[in-house]
Amino acid sequence: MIHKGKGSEHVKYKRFMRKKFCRFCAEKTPFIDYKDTRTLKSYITERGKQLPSRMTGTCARHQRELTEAVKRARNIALLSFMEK
Amino acid sequence: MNYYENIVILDAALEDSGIDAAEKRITDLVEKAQGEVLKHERWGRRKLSYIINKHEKGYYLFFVFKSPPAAIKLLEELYKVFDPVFKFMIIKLRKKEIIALQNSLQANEPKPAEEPAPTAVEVAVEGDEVPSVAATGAAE
Ligand SMILES: [Zn+2]
Repeated sequence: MIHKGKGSEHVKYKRFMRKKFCRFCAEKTPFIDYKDTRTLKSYITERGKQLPSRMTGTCARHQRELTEAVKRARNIALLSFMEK
Repeated sequence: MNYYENIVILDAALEDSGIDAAEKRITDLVEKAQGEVLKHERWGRRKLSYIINKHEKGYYLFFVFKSPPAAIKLLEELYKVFDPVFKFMIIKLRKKEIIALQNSLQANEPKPAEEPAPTAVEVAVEGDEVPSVAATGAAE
């Protein structure tokens, strides 16, 4: 019984494991453009906060670039600081 | 000489003539300061992501220019006193951005013999970059 329980838990956990990779490395993006809000929006929450790299799989270098791009976009009102 | 990217947000209530005038004033200033406007685009009226100085909407202008740093000081001084402008951002481009810019400029101009003068007249819409920005803004 205990084994069964653990097993199902394991499966549930596994379902949420996706192979993570850095999209910007994979696509060899020369730089992250702050004007490209469509891309930036996939790295922020609905409320406008930036997602941590452990969730998106972005590498450290590109996460830094992303942060700068998001800040620039917010500055010029292409993205919001906080939704609601 | 450095490369700069400049976004200016104008009062959305401004008429087209006012926008033309503002655009001319900015390009004139850059050129007077020994700069050269490489690109300019009009993104049009967009909803702002948050309210700035009681404005909910703004008319976005986008410039790319090559100029000495002194031109940026002059521009900033102009924007501070220029009423139609209520928000602006000037960014100095780095190596990778400059390379991408030069590639896009070459793609827009198939004849390398031509001087870059016509770039100021033609509003280059490259790829789906700008429409996508406009679309996301309209969707909200
Ligand atoms: Zn990366």
